[in-house]
Amino acid sequence: MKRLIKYISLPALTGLAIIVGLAAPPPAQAATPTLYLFNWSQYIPESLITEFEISCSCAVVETDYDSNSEMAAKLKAGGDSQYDVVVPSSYYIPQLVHEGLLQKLDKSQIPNAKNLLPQFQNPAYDPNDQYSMPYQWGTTGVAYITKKFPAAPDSWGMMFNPKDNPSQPFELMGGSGRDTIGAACAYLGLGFDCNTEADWLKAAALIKQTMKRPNFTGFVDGTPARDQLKSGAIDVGMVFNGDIATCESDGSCNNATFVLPKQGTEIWVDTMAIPAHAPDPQLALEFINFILDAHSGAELSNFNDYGSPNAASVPQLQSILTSTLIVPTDEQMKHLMFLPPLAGKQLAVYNQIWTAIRQ
Amino acid sequence: MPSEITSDKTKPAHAARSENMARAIRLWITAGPGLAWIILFLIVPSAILLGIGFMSNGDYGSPHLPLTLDPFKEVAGFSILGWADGNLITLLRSLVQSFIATFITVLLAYPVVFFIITRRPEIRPLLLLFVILPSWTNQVVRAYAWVELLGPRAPLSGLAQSLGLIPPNLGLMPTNFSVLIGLTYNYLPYMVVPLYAAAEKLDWSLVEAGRDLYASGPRLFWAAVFPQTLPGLLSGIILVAIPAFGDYIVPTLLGGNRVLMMGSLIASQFTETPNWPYGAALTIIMLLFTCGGLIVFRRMTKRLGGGDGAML
Repeated sequence: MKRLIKYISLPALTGLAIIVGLAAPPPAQAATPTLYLFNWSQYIPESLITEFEISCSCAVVETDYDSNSEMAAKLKAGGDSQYDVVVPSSYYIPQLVHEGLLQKLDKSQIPNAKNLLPQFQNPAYDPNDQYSMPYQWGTTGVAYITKKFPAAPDSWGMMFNPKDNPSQPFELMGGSGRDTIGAACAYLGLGFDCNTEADWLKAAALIKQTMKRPNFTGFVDGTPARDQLKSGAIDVGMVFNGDIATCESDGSCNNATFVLPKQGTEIWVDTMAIPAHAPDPQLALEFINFILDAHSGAELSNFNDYGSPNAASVPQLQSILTSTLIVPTDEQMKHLMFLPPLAGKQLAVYNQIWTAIRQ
Repeated sequence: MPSEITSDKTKPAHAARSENMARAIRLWITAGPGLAWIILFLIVPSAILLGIGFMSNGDYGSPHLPLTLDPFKEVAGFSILGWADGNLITLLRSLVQSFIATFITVLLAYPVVFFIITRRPEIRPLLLLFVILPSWTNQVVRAYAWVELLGPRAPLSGLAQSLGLIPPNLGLMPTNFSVLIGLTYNYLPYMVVPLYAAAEKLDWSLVEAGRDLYASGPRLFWAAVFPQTLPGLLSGIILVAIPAFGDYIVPTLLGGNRVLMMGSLIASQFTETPNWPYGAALTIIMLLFTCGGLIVFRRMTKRLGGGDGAML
């Protein structure tokens, strides 16, 4: 046995050394500084990346993610020293800050922050804009195929009330389930931002009941839900307003209508932040300032079809981006709220309840 | 007696040493990379996972000290909200899914394999290739193909609607039926290939002998054919049952992601509903069960197939 170990250990160690050697990154080239951008997939136009590369005479390397949880998991697993800029959603900011995964922004380096609309400055999720700058913003709502629902109410009943939708296929949002639980809470009159165990349990019971209905087709995220609406796989879905703006501008929406339910729903902001041990925080600040420029901000929103937090960009925006689909009326704004961040025992309880729904 | 001992010592010591050296170098070159690969990507991650499984859950689901057995209690169903049968149901659901998928692939694989081995030897590899070919495409892409084929607007769904098999407006997908189609389609090649390997070596004289004794068709199959294909069948069962147990791509895409499978329950502990220690504990328990199952199967294969458990 000892001999076996002796025979195996040496070649194994040599092989290990070779693999580690191959995997190690090549020595950094001092000539071209590089910005490592960790962003949602398809969330920035190529042209904007090129413009930034020219203006900073640097290179940009993009890595994609598809959910906040995926992004947070990668930052925790050592990604906080690999990326210069990340784009977390507003309700993830307190968590990332608390876990020490973000660094404070030197605002003297971001003069373009003055371009931001007043409601996106000093937000509740990040007092004094210490860690984040808004990137895009949007709402979560209900989209349905107009001709199948001649008299649809602007209500979460489209999902949760069999009378509002007796037989047309519909889906709910999956992922961490925050939007679906919030919607169920709102429908029950507990508020979209419900955050107590008792409220969540009531919402869970409603969702369990809803899952038993034959026309419930499953849990899908926002953009895939929009694609299912387009293909006719579902007739009602929970989507983000920007998803509908995209298919409306190219006429592929299958005549869908987007409504913000009167019981209340979510407003969210995707933000730019710098990981705690970013390789090049100076370049990261330069990038953030570049995105907050009037022209870049417009180019970004015109590509994404999401709302721009940038007041200076407004004159250059496509008409759909100033319509009520993207910028809700003041009356609608009253029913919009941020998802409350969860931590500790509260998060553990929430996770248990959501998992139990799915089990 | 003494001559035996001295025979080894008569060899010059330096020659023996250089022979040893050459052997060690050969070992380095051949086994080194493979061993390193296993250590780096199997042993080290497993050890990390084992460590995480005994840690406490932090404020945001990441592992923290002190060490605790709480994650394993949670696996057993005892959570912050008391005992729940969720994990048990998820486990049963995954087992049932695995069992049904394996059973259907076996039923489908036998006719396919016997069709192939009764063709001319030159075209057999080609026919086998047709079975394997689809598995060269990514599993997700193939699942999406079924989404298109079984969706509410697809002709097949239209047919099922007009026959009254499914309610109007809805499709054949997402249903339990579409999950089974997806799984069977996915894993059929893994059943066909080992079964083909066993059936190709079939001793047909036993079948002829049975015929001479006027055995009925089913009797002939059970007594003369089936035992000879058993080693291949058992290998096939292992290759299908284990991945089908953990599969969550098919249930997610073709089943509408309505309920959790073991695979997705574990994945979500590291992402959507973060609790890394719990996820690690689930993984450890699942690995232990899989290894236990493999050992039982290996014993069975050895006993039934005369030690031909080569797949293990």
